[in-house]
Parts: sequence; C-alpha cells; structure tokens
Amino acid sequence: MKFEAIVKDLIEEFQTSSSATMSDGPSGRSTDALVATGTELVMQVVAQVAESVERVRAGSDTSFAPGPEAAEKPAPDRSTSEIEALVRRVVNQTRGLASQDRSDLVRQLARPDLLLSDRGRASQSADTVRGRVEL
Amino acid sequence: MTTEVVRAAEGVVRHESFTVGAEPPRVFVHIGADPVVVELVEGSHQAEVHVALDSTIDGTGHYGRFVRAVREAALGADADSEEGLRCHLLSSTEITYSSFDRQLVVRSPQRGAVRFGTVAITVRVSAGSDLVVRGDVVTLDTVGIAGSVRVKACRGEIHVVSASSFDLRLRRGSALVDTVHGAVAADLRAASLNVADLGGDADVVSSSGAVALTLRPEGAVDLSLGTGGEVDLSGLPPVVESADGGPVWEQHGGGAAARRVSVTSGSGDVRLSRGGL
Repeated sequence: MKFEAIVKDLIEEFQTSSSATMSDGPSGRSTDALVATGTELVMQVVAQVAESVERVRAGSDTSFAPGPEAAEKPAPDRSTSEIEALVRRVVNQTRGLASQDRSDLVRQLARPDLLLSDRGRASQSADTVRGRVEL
Repeated sequence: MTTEVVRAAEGVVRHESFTVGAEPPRVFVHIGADPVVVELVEGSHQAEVHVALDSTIDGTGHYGRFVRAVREAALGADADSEEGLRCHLLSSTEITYSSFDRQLVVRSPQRGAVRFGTVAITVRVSAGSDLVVRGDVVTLDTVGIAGSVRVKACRGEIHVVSASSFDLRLRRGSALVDTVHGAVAADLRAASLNVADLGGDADVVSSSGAVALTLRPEGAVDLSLGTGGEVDLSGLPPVVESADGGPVWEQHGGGAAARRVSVTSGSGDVRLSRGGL
C-alpha cells in the first residue's frame, strides 16, 4: 500500500469513527478509541516509511525507476534525518490530539490543513461558548 | 527597501474571449499583486478576460537599482518606457481556456519577489462559475453570483457579493462577503472576516483577526466559539449552553438538521448576529 493511501485510510478511519460516535450518542466510542485507531494507523505509516527507506538504501526500489548512475550512489543521509523529523512530528501531533477534547478532535479531523499546521485550538484561558441557538 | 508605485496612464489593453457554452466554467486566477475584478453575468456563454496596465513599480536606493537591473534584463531597450513595460506585461500574461476540463486560467507575469509593474485583470464569466484566486497581494472584487470561491493570499482586500461556498486563507487584510449560501471555511491569521449573510456552516480559525458572522435565520445553529478576545452574541437570541462543555450536536441526537458554526481565535474578537432583523 502506498503512503498516500495509508494517510487517506487514516483520515477516513477517523471520520468513520467520529460519525459512528455521533450516531451512537454519548455512549459511543471514546476519544481514547479514536486516538488508539489513529495511532495504530500512524504506526503503519511509520513502518511503511521505514520499509521504503530500507528499499531505497538497498537500491531495490523500482517504483522510483532510478537510472544506472543512481543505483551506484548510496542513499543520502539527509533523507533519513528528514524521515526521522517527519516521524517525530507525527508522534507529537498524535500526542497533541490525545490531549484535546473530543469536539476539537472531531472538528480538526475535518480540516487536515489545520491538523498539520497545529492551529485551530483555543487556549485554556479563552472565552468559550458552546451551545445551541434557535434562529 | 521602499517602492514607488505609479498609476499607469490609459493605453493599449489586451482582450481575450472564449465561447464556453451554457455550463459555467471554473476560473483560476494566479497573480502577484494585481487587482482582479470578476463579473459573473447571468446567461452568458462567453468567458472574457480584459488586461490593462495598472501601475509601474520602482524602487529607491539599492533596491531601486536592483529592480531597474531586473527590468532591463527582461525588457532590454524598452526598459525605460512605460509603453515597453505595458507591452511586456500584457503579452506575458497567460490566458488560456481548456474546453476539455472547462477551466479558464489567468496568470499574471509578475508573481515573484521582484515586481516592476502590475496589471488590472477583469474576468467576465457566466454566473455560478467556481472561482479560485491565489497570489501574494490579492485585491479581489466579484460582482454577481459565483459558485464556490476560494482565495489564498498573504495580504488581501476581498469583496465577494454572493457565493455558494467560501474558502479563505488570508494572513493580513480583510474579507467582506455579502452572501454565502453554503459553508465558510477560513484560516485568517491577522486578517478579519465579515460575512453579512451566512446560510451554511462555518469553520473559522484566526490568530488575531476579528470575525463577524451574520447568520441567516433558518432553524437551529450549534455554536462552538473560543477566543482570547471578546465574544459578542448580543445580536443573537439566548444561547442554550451545553451541560458538560462537549459538542452540542452530540447531545441533540446527532443534530443533523442544525448548522454548525465554529470559530477559534487566539485574540481576535468574535461577533455573531442574526440576520433579517
């Protein structure tokens, strides 16, 4: 499975879980279950990335179709550090998600742009209003 | 670094026209700092693009010498004449229409860090067209009824009369939308947003930008607001707050019929009011 497909699965799984939670009512799956599902999928992503790195290092990855001169060169160390940084970022994001309340979590999952930029979370001292109004 | 902007005199303009049929095309405009007007005309089967020289930009001091050097490299012997600049900018503005994917693309030539002129772009397409505008400094004015409108810019002054949905990424400046029939999604940083008639959901995030939404009086709306600034709900009927602070839509049996309005800001003020009062 390709990297993009795994990430897509991750988002779909989150959305499915959150919609199932809403239809089940308050007794549905908890935030912990959502985060556990997400974490499991993130681990798959990490495993996939690690596997790709190994393939590139071994020079057996044909998906990139390297030329003969590329096969002779060792994989640069830069890619390894970039992937480590990516993995660290994913882990931090997962921890951040786990510390949020459930409504923010569900809302953020609908906006992957905000999820990656770590924005859209109200501070603890914020003036908050949560309620329903009939217009 | 300082720049001097001089308004261009009237002169030769460029005009392109395409037959697009009854179905509204998608319009993609990519600019540097060029003002854009989009006119959405009912019943039009044409897509027209009008480009005129808007301003010339010169720098002072070292930056001025740098800008002039770039300009000379681009224009050669015509670097010092306004007509030479006009000819260069108008001819190098990219205007294409693909009947295969029904997309009109307009790209102004000066999208990089160094600009020595801007063009005024006017696009005239059929009402209901989807619109995407992105650039460094976006001055956008739409007239008529648009489909979905998406704008992404560092700075901008945006006015949209009517859109089916509105997606905004703006760091500084302001956006005024008269009517949005569907959803609004925005990431504002320091920019402000004012929607005068919101018919759908809203998901707005800002750092310090103020957010003002006037909600169309149709049914129930679930609110989730949070800001370090002030929340002003004086223009709304009384809000029934959720018991445990959780999302309201889960406490009302899923709340499929209710609209959802979520605004999260670092320090921007949030004002919600009811329309039609």
